[in-house]
Amino acid sequence: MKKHILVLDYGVGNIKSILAAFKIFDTRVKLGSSAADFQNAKALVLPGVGAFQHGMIRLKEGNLDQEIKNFATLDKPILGICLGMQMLFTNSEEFGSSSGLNLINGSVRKLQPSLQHKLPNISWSQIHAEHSTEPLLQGINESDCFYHIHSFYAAPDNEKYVMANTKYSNKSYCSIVKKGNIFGCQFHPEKSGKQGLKIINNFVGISNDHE
Amino acid sequence: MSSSRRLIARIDVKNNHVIKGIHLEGLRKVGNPNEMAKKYYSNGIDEIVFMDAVAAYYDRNSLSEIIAAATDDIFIPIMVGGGIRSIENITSALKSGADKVAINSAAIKKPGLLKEGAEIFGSQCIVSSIDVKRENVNSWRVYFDNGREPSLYMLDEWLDIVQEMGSGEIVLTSIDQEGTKKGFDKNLADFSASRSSIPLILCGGIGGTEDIDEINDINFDALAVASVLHYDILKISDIKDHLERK
Repeated sequence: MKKHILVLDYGVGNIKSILAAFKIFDTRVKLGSSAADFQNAKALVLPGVGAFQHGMIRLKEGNLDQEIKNFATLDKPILGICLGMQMLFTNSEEFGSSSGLNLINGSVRKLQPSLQHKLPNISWSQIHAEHSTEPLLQGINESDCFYHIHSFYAAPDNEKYVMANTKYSNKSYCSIVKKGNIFGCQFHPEKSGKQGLKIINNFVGISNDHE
Repeated sequence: MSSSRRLIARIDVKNNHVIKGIHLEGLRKVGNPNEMAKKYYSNGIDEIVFMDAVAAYYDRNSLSEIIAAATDDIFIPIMVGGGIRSIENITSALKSGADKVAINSAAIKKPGLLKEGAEIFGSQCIVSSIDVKRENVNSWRVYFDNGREPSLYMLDEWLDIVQEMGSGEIVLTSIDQEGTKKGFDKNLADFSASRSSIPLILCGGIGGTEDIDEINDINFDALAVASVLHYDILKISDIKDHLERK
């Protein structure tokens, strides 16, 4: 049986666009949330928008946090998007302190706004890649812009996991994280036009390499 | 570092046709919503807003099929507005594939809807749509029901309320300028920008790039346009060049 890419449906955010974007490159993408869906998956996409704590509660309700952690130990590719990226980390300072999946050591912090950089940060911004050879960023140029919409960002403790940065105000934050086969994008590749679809296509390629 | 502003195409829909009026009235059919959205996407628009132009009268939004079709081949943010008046309406708009909802009349009748929406779906989902008419120098009244009904709120107090309620963005339309291609009301832009700590989208009235240059020194975050795109008056790339913060 051919394995699918699982887009996790746990009731948070617009997953229709993520499904549509993956379907362009791999028709075996599947929406699901059961243990069986995980078993037959070659890769996992963790979507999400909104509040960190709410997202984690929804994951725990279905025991999906454990499923994700088990999936990670099998070294299969995982892509967290926006809140889905943030939940890969140890904890978040949103609403006091909440625990995340802890697949990547680090914390989720609030952006510091300035006059021209408001909160939420809603912008099409360039990303600055740390390593030009990264498969997830194949075909992406420095001038390409991606759609960011968020007030918090994830900061890995170990800087070697930072694959790309985005500038905001007079600072930069981690906008793509990579630890082994675990990836996270702070921006929305499924909402970033043709250049965003390249990232989706690259992740499909990474998933196929691990099938 | 300065950041670039977003350019948003506003598509007003009535009975599955794109329509355009002046001062939000006198509506004319100008095309098919999905075809126009796709064209703007191909030409590099940053975001699309579909507005149900008649929903406010009928208490419902009828755009779900248009949104669902759009999200199959348009991979940029999509906002939907018009007739959004309950948590159920927001849920169904998001289910059809919208990323954000613009709320106007319902918020004026019940401001708590903004707060409840922001708590359930996140602030990034809840856009406060504000239509105003000038009453005096530096004084504007907030209108609802598609610009027909005056509310009890003046713009300054309403801006405070929608931000306190947790809106993630504001889309501001000047009814006086809307559809006129005479430019955005600069005093209104300035007045609102200095009172908005969340992203501010200016909507309506742009007729040429000189109208954008005129307001470039004001600290707004995005521009929504309709006529200049619907009637092929300006190119998306040209508008974006003029939107760059000077």
